[in-house]
Amino acid sequence: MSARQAVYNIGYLDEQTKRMIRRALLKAVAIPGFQVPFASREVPMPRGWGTGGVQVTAAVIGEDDVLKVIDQGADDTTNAVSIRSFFASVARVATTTRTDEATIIQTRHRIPETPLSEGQVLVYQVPIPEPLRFLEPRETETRRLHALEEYGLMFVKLYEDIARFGHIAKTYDYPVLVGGRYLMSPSPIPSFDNPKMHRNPALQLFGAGREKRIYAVPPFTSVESLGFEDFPFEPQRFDEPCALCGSTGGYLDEVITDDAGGSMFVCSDTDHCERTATRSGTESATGTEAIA
Amino acid sequence: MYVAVKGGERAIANAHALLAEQGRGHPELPAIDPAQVEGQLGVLVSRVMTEGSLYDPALAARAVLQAQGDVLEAVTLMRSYRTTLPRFGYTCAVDTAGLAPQRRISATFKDLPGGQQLGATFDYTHRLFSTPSSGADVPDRHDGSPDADDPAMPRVADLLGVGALIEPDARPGQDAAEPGDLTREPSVFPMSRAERLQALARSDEGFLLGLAYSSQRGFGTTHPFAGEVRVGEVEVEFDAPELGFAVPLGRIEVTECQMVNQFTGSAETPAQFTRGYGLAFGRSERKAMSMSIVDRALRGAEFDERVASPVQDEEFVISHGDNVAATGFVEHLKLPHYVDFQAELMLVRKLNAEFEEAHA
Amino acid sequence: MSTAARTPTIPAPGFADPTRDAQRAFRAVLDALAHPTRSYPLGGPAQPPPALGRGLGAVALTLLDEGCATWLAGPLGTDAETATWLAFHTGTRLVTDPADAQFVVADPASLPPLARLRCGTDEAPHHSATVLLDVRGATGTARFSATGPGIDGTADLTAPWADAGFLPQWTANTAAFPRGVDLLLVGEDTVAALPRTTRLHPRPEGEA
Repeated sequence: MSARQAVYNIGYLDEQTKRMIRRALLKAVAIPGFQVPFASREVPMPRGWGTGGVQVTAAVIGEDDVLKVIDQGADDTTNAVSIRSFFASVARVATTTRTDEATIIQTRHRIPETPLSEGQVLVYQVPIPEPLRFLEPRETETRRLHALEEYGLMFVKLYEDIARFGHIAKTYDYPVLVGGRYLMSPSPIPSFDNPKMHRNPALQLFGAGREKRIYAVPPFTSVESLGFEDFPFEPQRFDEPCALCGSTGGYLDEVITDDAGGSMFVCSDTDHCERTATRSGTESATGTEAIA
Repeated sequence: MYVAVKGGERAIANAHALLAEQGRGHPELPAIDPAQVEGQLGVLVSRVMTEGSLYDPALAARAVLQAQGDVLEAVTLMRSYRTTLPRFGYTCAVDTAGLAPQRRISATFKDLPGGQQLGATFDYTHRLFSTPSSGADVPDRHDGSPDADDPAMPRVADLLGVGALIEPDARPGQDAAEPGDLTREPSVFPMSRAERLQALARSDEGFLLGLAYSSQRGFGTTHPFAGEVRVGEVEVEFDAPELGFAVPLGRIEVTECQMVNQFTGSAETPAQFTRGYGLAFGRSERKAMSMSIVDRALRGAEFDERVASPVQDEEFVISHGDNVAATGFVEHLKLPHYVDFQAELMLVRKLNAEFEEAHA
Repeated sequence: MSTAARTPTIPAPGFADPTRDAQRAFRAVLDALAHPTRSYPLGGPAQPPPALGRGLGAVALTLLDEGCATWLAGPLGTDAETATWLAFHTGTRLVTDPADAQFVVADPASLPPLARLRCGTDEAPHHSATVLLDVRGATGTARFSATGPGIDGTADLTAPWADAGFLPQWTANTAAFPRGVDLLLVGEDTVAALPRTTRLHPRPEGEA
């Protein structure tokens, strides 16, 4: 009895499930920014750990693909490693850490620094797909607000920030308007990354497994971060260069180096850091040691 | 020279090895056989099957072992296997009135056709530690288990239904269509009662217990009476259209609870008790009872009741009852969030600098 | 009984490799919808019903199953071989009213007015039809320029399948956004797409 095998399909998901997700994906692409409900399946990771992204990737990926997985911008964070090895084993795909070599990039919380190109697919893991959720907890209500294109709640929230702090106090998961119509959560990427979504040549797909929603931004589609005329959207910037590769203009992680308040700033995008360092002959955020 | 954290792969491999080692326990003691879990931890296996939405005691026992006793981990294992299985169709509705109960109790009548049957229950046991078992300490029974000659045991709800004192199983037009399936169709609110019941059957036992308890304490009162709780095996049949008759697939053990609740009625309509329903795999009495209370509480709008408490709120209950979702999302906070935290850190520093400048 | 008479009851094979072939065909369809007007190569089953053809056969095997309702327009609707083949390989529910269908399979001549198809609601615009348009052998001369999501600036669309009535219908379809139908233009070995977001503008004859 205990010898009985539990058998899983190639790519883990069964074909029926893939078709269901694929149909949802096509509608998502046809209605940019609209959250398409889908019958999200369980996958062998816990909910909230990328089950939406995993289902989207599983429905899209084939053996000709080259997959890159990042978490916090890094290829070697444990969850990225775990998801990458999952697909390497169940879908038998090649994997890479190089942004420019990947055909599919599954990400949590970042958009790579290396500009994406046409034909690439960026799959976002999304925890809370509804941008209005923390302003209105009910799905029946938020669905109606989207139908009416009634986004006043969000503008009021941003305005209250300004009144209180003098700034819009939203630094990540900063709401965007897609195609001039749908308010959309970009997932918890830092607002630093928001401008990269606008008219990006890659196809951007979003999967929220626990919340059972899929949405998309087709290539070359307008993605506008909300703002006001007198308080326009301002992405965060870093003044210093990466302490490892010396590059500027990227998103940096602050790393505490001692218990006396010492810290340094290094690239969050490990692939970007490594390649900049290789070009300039310096150290990089992934170091020189091969990943075991 | 600082080198950022790396070697995720090695870390994961090591963690898995360590986990396996801990799960094995003392290497000189025998490993637990899944069949032992299935036989001796039947209540746990029932819960894993119910919340895992898959009736397979042997597999559930393996899940319990592989999860080292973590129920939600075992449920997740079951679910993520179940979801890949092909679907052949719907079985016929199981006939719980025809179920030969190993346990059947009603709190609403002293005696009733078929009688009260205590069965295997922890009720009335004294919760005192017994002496460590030598393996052969099952006490003798004084009389036999119910046999085939037992009189029929009609469901209490059907007995009350005869006099139209209780609402019927299905109201005209209510969910007349094929029931939805949350695991196959996207779920959107508001849900049909059938979809709600499916969600409740998969919901976390502890979550439903807490909600049911809250309604007993005044947050969405429904005045429940345990009309009937029955545990036993039912035949599952599959209606094969090409054959023209139902094919028996096998028997499964279930626990069913019919909760009889406060009555409705007005000058225009006669008074009738309402009900809540609970059904779970195996021996899952607490789950079935909690489920039936929550089911009834969620029908507030149907009976024009004031809806003000969490247990009556469909979106609240259904969205948060799934423990696979809940545990995953709570525990995902363990994943790195340093990119977003960095963004917040920068904003707080900026706000602080501006504050100090303004108050200098 | 002759072999020919038995054909409709023994459906020809579907994809040689269901998992991989469906994945490739899906990527072609996804790429097509993400890059409206652009044509992508499509690999199909070896012996599809002739009325359906390789391209439509591939899209049907990739997207249809018992979870969705399909309407077959015109001659396809009465082609027993197609109905049997689709039932056997996909299990899709064939419906008799195009307004009930999530997928509408039609050729240009049998395509009903788009307004008669499901276009969703403002709350659920995804509850809308996807038209699989058989564009094999179309000989018209219509040409459009296209703009919208997925298109970098403007794209040219040669649309031999479009008759004079198409442009006003399509313009109304895009104006109803977010409601609307989406169009897959399926040839023998290619697929292109017009999602509801693609706006078409007439292009004078002879203009390059």
